[in-house]
Amino acid sequence: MERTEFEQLYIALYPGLYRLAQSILHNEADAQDAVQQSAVKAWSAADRIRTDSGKAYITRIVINECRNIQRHRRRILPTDRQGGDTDPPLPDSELKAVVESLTETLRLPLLLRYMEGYSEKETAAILRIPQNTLKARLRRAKAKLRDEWMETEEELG
Amino acid sequence: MKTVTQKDLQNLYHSPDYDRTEEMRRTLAKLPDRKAPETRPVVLKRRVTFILAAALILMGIAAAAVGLYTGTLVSWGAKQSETEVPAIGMTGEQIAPLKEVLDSYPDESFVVMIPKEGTDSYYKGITRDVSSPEELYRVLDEAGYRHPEQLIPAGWTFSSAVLGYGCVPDGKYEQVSETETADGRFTVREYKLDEQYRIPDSYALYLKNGPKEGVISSVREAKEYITVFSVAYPADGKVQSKAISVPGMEDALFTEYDGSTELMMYRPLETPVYVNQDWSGTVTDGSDIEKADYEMIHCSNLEPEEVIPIFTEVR
Repeated sequence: MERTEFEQLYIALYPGLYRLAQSILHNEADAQDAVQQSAVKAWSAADRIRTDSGKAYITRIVINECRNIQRHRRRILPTDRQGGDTDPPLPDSELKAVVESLTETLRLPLLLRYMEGYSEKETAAILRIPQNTLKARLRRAKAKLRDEWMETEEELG
Repeated sequence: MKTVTQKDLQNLYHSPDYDRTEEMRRTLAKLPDRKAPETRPVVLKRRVTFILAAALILMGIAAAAVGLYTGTLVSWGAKQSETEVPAIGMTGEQIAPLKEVLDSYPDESFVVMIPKEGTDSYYKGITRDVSSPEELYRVLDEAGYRHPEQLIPAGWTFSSAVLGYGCVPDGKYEQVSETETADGRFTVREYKLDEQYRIPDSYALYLKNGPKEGVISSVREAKEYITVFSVAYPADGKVQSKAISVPGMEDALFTEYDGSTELMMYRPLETPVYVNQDWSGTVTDGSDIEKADYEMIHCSNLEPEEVIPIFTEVR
């Protein structure tokens, strides 16, 4: 993949990659680091990136970078989140709380599929799980989301 | 009830504070120019380097793992001669095929081979295939194996591909026999495991689908379905890790661990290889995605009910 094509692809994917990283890391600076670092890694392997699967490939690199950052955090911090650096509450914080209450195993498929609009096939490839497993996770994620959301509404109600 | 849209989800993680895209553009602009595409020999060289590095790392892990177990026993692996893929147990090396040796012992026992002229040398990697117990002993001897108490093949084998062996804590077994090898160079001691440490009695394998549906509760039955089963015990006797693979089941990899050791599992096309977290960072970047020869599963991300098969403790 040529430089111009690579840059165009990355810029196009960037907002989604950033959202994804933030959903995993819950930290703006870390999310930005993850995406930028992924660009460096992806570029170093750019000759292996195919146009048709580049989006999934790069997304996977971002997820792996997030994992690396999480591992690093575990070594230096007792918890996953660094209190002062987390995002300020968003207007739709109830929904965010509900989404964040899902385990990462369920949250990531949900966000890749419905936030970023990847197909089931692409999402399964990115997460490296069979499509049937993905479908099961999506089903469970949606069910939990629905249940939690209803609870929240009742509480607000 | 409110419908959650794609936009709603996107808004959860979108911060409009400043234009990050511009920042990304700057990052991309700083990326160095790429070198000309490498020629095939270089790629091959890299692959060989990667394999060598992986082998060295695994040997290091094996050595470290041996050191971790305060007992005198370690685990090791074996492969059958017809398979090309080397089998690497969690702490093991490859010696094969031992089926002839192991099949002669009942499931609840294991054997220890003790060179008569034992010294204090430690275990060295043995990679040669052998076709008989006698040849195995000779290979062990030639390799300078002089710490025989560490060589404990558990008394079970599997019908295809890879044989796995677990290490057993000291004092949890009872010697039931002692014989010499034909060449008189080794003493083979058969031990019977303390009941609580017998794998089939403590754990059963539950297959949700695939070649069988239901609990596999005996090693004998497991032999029909499982290609790899690696178990490691620290000195306290609790199961530290288990790993298996069932042929033909895409999702059939699972390991269970006590949290003190985070296992990563890498599955080449035919044979699982187990490494610990120390190695994970070197092969989990995205550049590995399209390497058809490895599939990575980060076990801690798997939820038990989604993993096939599931280990179920049977009391």
